[in-house]
Amino acid sequence: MKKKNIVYLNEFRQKKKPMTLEEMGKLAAMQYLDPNFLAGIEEPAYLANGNVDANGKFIISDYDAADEDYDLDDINEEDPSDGQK
Amino acid sequence: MRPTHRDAENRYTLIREAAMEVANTHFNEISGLRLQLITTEALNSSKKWRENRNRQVDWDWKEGYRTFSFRYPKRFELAIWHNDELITLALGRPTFRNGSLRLDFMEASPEERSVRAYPLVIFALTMYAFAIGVDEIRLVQPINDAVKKYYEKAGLTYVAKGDFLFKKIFR
Repeated sequence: MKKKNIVYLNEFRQKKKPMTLEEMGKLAAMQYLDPNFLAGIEEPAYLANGNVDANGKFIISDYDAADEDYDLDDINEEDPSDGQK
Repeated sequence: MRPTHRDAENRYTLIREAAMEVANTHFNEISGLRLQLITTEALNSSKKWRENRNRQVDWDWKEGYRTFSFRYPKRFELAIWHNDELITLALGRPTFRNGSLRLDFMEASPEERSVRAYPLVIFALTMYAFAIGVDEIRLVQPINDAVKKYYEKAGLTYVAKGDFLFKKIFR
């Protein structure tokens, strides 16, 4: 009986050469710089994200402890602001 | 500035520059696109945005950058130019456990643009996240519902609890 050549996934992963920054660049470019990416989705006329105070100024905060770990249950939970930002 | 702070600033500036250099190899001269670290020229150019009526924030990028860059030597920073026009500024940092790279502030030019900002920002953010060994990118506090929905359509997942969107990056 012919012996099967078993490849253990852990060993395979350990032998795998880590990706270089250049290789990552090619992959990311294929994904995000492809003209078809986002084709048909219009970018909002004004695009921004970040923490602003009532006067529209920067709020620079060290806070991120609570959102460090999040449950999948939190995802797509109803936004208490009901979409009014 | 303490020597350890200066050392971290220098070390991460080299990583930022390396990530940016590789990212820029994907644009040719014809496209007119350049991704850069934030310079005085970019900060001065952003002053023009303050007069624009479409603008929904009153961010003073010069002051904001000064504070943010001093506080976070591991920061992500980006200025996107199209020909000689500044089209986007962005600042972010890794979370304290180094699990995610947050995009804390991003603003695309409120003036009429012929170039989409989001794909370029996410491209640069992914490159820096990879360079510092982070597996997730996180866009914090979209400015309004239209922006949030746009990010969701573009493939990010919204987490209401922290008001951010995230995406795992491939390795």
